[in-house]
Amino acid sequence: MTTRRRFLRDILVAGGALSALGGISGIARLVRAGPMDAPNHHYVFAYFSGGWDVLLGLDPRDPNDFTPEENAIEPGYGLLPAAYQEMVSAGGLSLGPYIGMLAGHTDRLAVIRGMSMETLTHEVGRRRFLTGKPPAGLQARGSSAATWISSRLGQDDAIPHLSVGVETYNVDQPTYASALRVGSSTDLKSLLTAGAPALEPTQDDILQAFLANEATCERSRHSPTLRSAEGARLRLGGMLDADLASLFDIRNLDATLRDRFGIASANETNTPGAQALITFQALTHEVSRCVSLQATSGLDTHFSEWARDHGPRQMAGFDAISRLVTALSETPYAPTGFTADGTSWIDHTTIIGFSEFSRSPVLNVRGGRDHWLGNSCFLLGGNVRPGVIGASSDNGMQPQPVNLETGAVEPGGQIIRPEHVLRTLLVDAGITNDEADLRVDPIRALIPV
Amino acid sequence: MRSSSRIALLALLVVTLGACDDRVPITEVPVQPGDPTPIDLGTGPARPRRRMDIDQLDQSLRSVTGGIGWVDSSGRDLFVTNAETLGVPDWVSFTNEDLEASALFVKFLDDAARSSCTTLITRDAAAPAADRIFFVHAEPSAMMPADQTAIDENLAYLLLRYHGRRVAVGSDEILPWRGLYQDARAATDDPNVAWRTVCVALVDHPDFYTY
Repeated sequence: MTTRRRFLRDILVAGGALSALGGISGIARLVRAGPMDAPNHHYVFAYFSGGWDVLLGLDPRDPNDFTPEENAIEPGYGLLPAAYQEMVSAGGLSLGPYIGMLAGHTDRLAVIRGMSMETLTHEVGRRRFLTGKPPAGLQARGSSAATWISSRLGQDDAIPHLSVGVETYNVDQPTYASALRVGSSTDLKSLLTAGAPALEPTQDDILQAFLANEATCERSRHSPTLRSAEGARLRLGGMLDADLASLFDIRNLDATLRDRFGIASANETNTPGAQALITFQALTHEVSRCVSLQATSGLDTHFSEWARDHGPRQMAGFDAISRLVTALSETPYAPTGFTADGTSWIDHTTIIGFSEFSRSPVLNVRGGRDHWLGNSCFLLGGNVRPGVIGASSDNGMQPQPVNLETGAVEPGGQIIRPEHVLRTLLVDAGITNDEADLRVDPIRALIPV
Repeated sequence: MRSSSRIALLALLVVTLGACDDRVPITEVPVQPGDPTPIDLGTGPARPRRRMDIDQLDQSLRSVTGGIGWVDSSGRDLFVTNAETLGVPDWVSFTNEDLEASALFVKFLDDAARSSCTTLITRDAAAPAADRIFFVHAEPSAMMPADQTAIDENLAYLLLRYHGRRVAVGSDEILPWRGLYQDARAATDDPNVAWRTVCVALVDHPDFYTY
């Protein structure tokens, strides 16, 4: 994009001047990196907040075959509204009654079942799925997978890693790979819009030059906090210059585009559909390499609201991802420097949907479901092989060992954990050595790496 | 969008502003395990710095601007309005405040600086000398080189007020700030515009929001 080239040119000029005074390594890296260095892969991390019920979505069971008495599994479909009491069969996959529009993408959909989260704590499960490492207490250890990928592939992007409402971590990667975290499209628009009152352009240049010069001080260069602050200032300047705010102004986007994401009102700026639209814009306008979004929330249904609320909330997330997949499928892949070859954006974008854990396979005495160690996740797009990998057990939906080459349940295989999935994504992104120190093998049945 | 001439100006200014004032040499002292030689770790350039949280920042900005802070046209505190976006814990869904100096933080800090400094400079320039909190040692209309001492005294006062740094008027530490004022003043006919740029720089500078 012209605007990004101009941004890099600005940085080149400033970086050259700064180098004369000691320089900042991040700037040098920004300048060095070119679009041709990066494979044409993009990634979306869709977080379903609160702990999802896999019986309603990714790992259903037939109520006629599974009972709490014999299998410690209680699908509970009879408690749901009449339209959602049956499993869904699509593309050879059995899916839960609230799988929603995602059932229309089984030609690309891979489901991993029978995973182990080894925790019943929201923060621990969430942070393990983000970083691939068990937290220390509640504290995340290591950088998010999205941060790793952004550090390797996103050097040339205006916002390498955009996160809408999802935690991200960067403990050992370059500053530019830290996520730009916002709570909603409104936040993002505010961030990308120059504030008022504005300084005169010349005064602004003088101010920025002064701050850049201050960042060359010994004290600044040896402080991670001050280096991070300078990196943020440079990124902010580039983002404002690139005039990106209009891309994320949902109220003023074309109504047809809003319709594609199921956004009924222009005031819906933070619904699952709005988040999917932000993701679509960030990817296809070459703003971001990785996007983390909160596909849905409010899934922590311990009480009788489970029957009423859990399914629709979960389905809203599936539908938002489904709309994103459709829109990406319908958009030819032709980013700057890439000769169109008939592929679409979904051919170059890998989406992972996950939650911190699943819900207990048996209803509790209050008619809800509590936390459960087992889990599932789904991936689609990019190089993902469609199909099912692994399976939860027929008694209590326990994790089971899986042959990572074939994806079949097999004694002597490995229990799949979040780090297996993230290692697979990192290898897919070109990080073939285990630099993130996840200490597991990739799932070759999922992506041929 | 920056034009080529503005980019050239930017590069030139980086050079003319001169080197920063605190180039503390780092001396490596090789020590073997078990070596009893005492090492003075000091409080030098590697001392970990920490970003203020939003409540601290709000209070600090109000303090240095004489109570102005960052408010909208209705007087609502915009640090409070934007608390969720800025990562202030709501103690329901999250309890940790992210203290990274992120792009989002830097953006809103800059918005706050421009807003509060515009109000402060306008108010202070029109106030009687005894009531001023920004133009304490120099009149807004002070000019270099005739009023250099007064301008330096005012900059030293502002560095103490905004950054808590006691800087001698004749020291090298004042030079970058004097350079900033001179560059800003040379680019405008309005002295208040130049002083506003200095004010915004004082707030945008990491020495204001880290400790």
